Amino acid sequence: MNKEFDFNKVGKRLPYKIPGSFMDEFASNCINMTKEETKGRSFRMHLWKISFAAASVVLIMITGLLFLNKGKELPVINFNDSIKNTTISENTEVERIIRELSDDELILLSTMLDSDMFNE
Amino acid sequence: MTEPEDEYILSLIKADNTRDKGLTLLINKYKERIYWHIRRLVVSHEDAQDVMQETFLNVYRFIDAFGQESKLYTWLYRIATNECIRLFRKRKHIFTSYDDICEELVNKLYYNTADEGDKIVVKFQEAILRLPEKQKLVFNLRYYDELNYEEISNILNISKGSAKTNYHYAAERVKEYMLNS
Repeated sequence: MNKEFDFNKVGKRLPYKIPGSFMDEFASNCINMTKEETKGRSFRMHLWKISFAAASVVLIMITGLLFLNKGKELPVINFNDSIKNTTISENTEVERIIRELSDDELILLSTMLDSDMFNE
Repeated sequence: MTEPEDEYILSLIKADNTRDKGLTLLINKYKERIYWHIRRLVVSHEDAQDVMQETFLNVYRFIDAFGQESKLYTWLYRIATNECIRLFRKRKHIFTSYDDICEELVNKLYYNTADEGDKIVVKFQEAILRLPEKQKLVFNLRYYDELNYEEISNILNISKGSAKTNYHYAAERVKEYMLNS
């Protein structure tokens, strides 16, 4: 037998429910969200403008410096000289401890270091 | 009370000082239709709420792009449908296939309607949820929202012929499911 399903038995009924006041409050909630979004967008625009202004100032300063120093030789830093002139401070705590050790203590320390299995 | 015309609503939204009023009128005019369209597709109220919010936020963001060559409500249906599809695509990362998503939606259906007595209505929804995606969209828009094939083809970006064929196949499948499952 060829059975037919009658769509009218169901019609447009749905098995769902909408909780409480969702529909009543939806419009105002949505408007508030658009306002938040507009605020966020204007804050980002503001931040962008400030960053752009700061970058422009830096760029103008660099261009100005380059323009003023045009033709002048730029100072060259010789790193080898600066390394040679550097003295190691003798006032560190380790230096002080070593200075205060007696010769015997220094020999003992040296022997211990030699026999230290973790010291490669 | 008569509902405001779409042209009037649009003119309010497009002006800065009346944008909120226009948006409120638009939401109040279409919220029920759009909510039920979304709910039928995503099943849970929580998802429907998120998708609906995103739909109207998109309207607010892109109202200037609305060209008025289609009706305002078909544009709304289009945004809402795309948001639902976007939600499913996101879930595809969790569920491996479309069938998994359907199964999850059917589980949600039974979870959300546990207290409902009308079993035939729940089974009818299950039959729709198990349809292939395009058939499901076309069936809902035609059966529940009574949109014509021209409008459906605009919303889903398919031909009128494809909309008709998909509706025909969907209705056959739903019938078969209701009789044999």
